Amino acid sequence: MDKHLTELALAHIADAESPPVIEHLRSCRECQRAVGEYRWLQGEITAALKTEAKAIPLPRPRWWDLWERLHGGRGPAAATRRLFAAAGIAMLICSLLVAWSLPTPVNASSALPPKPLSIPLPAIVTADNELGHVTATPTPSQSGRQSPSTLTPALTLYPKP
Amino acid sequence: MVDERIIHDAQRGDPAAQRALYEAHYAAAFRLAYLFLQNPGDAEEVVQDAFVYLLRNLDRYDGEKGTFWAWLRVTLVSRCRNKRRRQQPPLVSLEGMEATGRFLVDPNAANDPARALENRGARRAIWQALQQVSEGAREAIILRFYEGLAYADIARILDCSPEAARARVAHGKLQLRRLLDEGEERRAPQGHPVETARAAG
Ligand SMILES: [Zn+2]
Repeated sequence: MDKHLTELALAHIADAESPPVIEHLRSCRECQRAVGEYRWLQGEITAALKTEAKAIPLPRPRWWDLWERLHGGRGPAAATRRLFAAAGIAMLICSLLVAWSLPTPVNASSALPPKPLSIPLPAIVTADNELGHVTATPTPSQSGRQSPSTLTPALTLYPKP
Repeated sequence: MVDERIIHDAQRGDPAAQRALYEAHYAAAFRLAYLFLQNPGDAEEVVQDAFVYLLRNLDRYDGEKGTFWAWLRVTLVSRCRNKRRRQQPPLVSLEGMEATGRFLVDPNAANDPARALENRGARRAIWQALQQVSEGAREAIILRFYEGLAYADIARILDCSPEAARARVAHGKLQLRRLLDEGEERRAPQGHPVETARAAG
């Protein structure tokens, strides 16, 4: 039997658009098997490439970017960007104006409203005329309770019947 | 992919038709660019560049000479090749070689090689090995086995003769098979994955 075909020849034959008629290949099982392996590899290459191409996440088409490049920055995306930039500048100017027009803040303690004066009511005094005892009952404001009436007298004397 | 009327309207400057043309081809263009560049960001950039060129030169498109996709493909591949030339050549990664072996000697593959080789891991290994194949051979392989082009068309796109395109594909397959063999031998000396799978199948 003549020499086996070279690897390169086998790789060529496996993918030939019109396979050449080679006498050796007709009779050699080994070379036939090698051509078969290259054909199998070709199928795997196709599958590998398709798998890889499908696995990669597809980015969103960026038509407006393309449009801008085609029309030199006159696309809607550029207009939107210009609009946002103008709005941003306007807002900055407004906030600066507002800040400038506000009165200068004064000392914190003097800015507080005047505190109402509170004078605690004196204790209720009961005079025991017979024994001459005088007891003092704390007024609701002094005892911490809410006063039932604002008309609590300052001093009440309860005469003994 | 798109009918001639859309192309005709796009040529007349109709923005809606131009957009339809862009969106109809975007996915296919991105995927092909990705296979050439292996980087989604670069692929996206190249697709945009290609469309800028095509839409500016739409009046040059002649439907008699080929489909819009064929025209886009030529532009796209040319831009991908330019981009790769400007970049550093990718280093042959040891990690990739290890991965090649790892996937092909997956424990499941030992028991059921045919099934295992059909799984994504094996295809991933082929994809990784393909990154180590010489540039010209890889380009020709993508156009031949992914796009399914005839050698005459590959020759036009890669600017070479059909014989040279055929030789690139054959050399690429040879390199690929050796890389797969080496990866397999480093990991498991028991047998060639292709042969094992074929014997099982
Ligand atoms: Zn032989």
